[in-house]
Amino acid sequence: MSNDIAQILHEIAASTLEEMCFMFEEPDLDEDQFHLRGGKAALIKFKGAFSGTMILKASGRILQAFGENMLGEDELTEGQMQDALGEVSNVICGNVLPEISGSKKDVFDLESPIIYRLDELPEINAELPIESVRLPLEEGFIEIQLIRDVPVQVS
Amino acid sequence: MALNVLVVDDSSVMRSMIIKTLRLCGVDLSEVHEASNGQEGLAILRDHWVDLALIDINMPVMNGEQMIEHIKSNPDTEDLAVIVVSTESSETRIDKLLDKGVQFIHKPFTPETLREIILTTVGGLDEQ
Repeated sequence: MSNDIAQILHEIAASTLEEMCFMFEEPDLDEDQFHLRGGKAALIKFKGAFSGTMILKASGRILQAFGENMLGEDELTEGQMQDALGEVSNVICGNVLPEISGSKKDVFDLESPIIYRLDELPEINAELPIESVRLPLEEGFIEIQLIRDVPVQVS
Repeated sequence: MALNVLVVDDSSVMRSMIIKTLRLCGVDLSEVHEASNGQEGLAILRDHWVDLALIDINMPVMNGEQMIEHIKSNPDTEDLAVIVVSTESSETRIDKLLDKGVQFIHKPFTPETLREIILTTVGGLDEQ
């Protein structure tokens, strides 16, 4: 079950980044090159067929790439980069949840993304089920965590 | 025909992306208005002629569903062409929106998909 959710996260994140940001998976990137230097995280709480939180963490370089590729501009404000991170996270979360629930009829309400510095992220309750994936891109890794308030059966 | 367009989304990056995509897919734009929530969007509709509104659903202050309720219940705006641009995937919610006479496009989208929906919604765009 856990592997299925991780796979859904991975596939939807990869396709969303391709379509929204023209950023592609880089399978040759080595896991030991993983870092989130200068990065931020977007946290989205959701309720519906199941409830929980999705967190997307990205390095400063990735944040810049999100903004540059979405807006087609090189000079971005911090606000624009954070907005881009929030929107990418929102689209991934909105697409991941119904895939996990397995029913197109299920309804989910997503709160607006909250952007955090990585060292300011709220602590996750270690007793809750957490799925975590790292997606390697040309510009580095992103990390996505899906924390469910209660376990869910993947169909 | 050049269109006056209103883009309503709480993300300024997404508004810019939608406007850029409209231009990329050959939509002839005249005036482009932006709003970050439904309330701001309704204020623009009161003061400007708009041919097409692209509206997000999840927004603070006034969400897209509420804005569409106002648009469809006002005789001055009930015929406005509306496209909902959202990550919403629930058929239950999408069907409810379509019943109000609006079109729906799912995020993320390609320029081709957006153009196709606009053609369906406002029709008769000049080929470019």
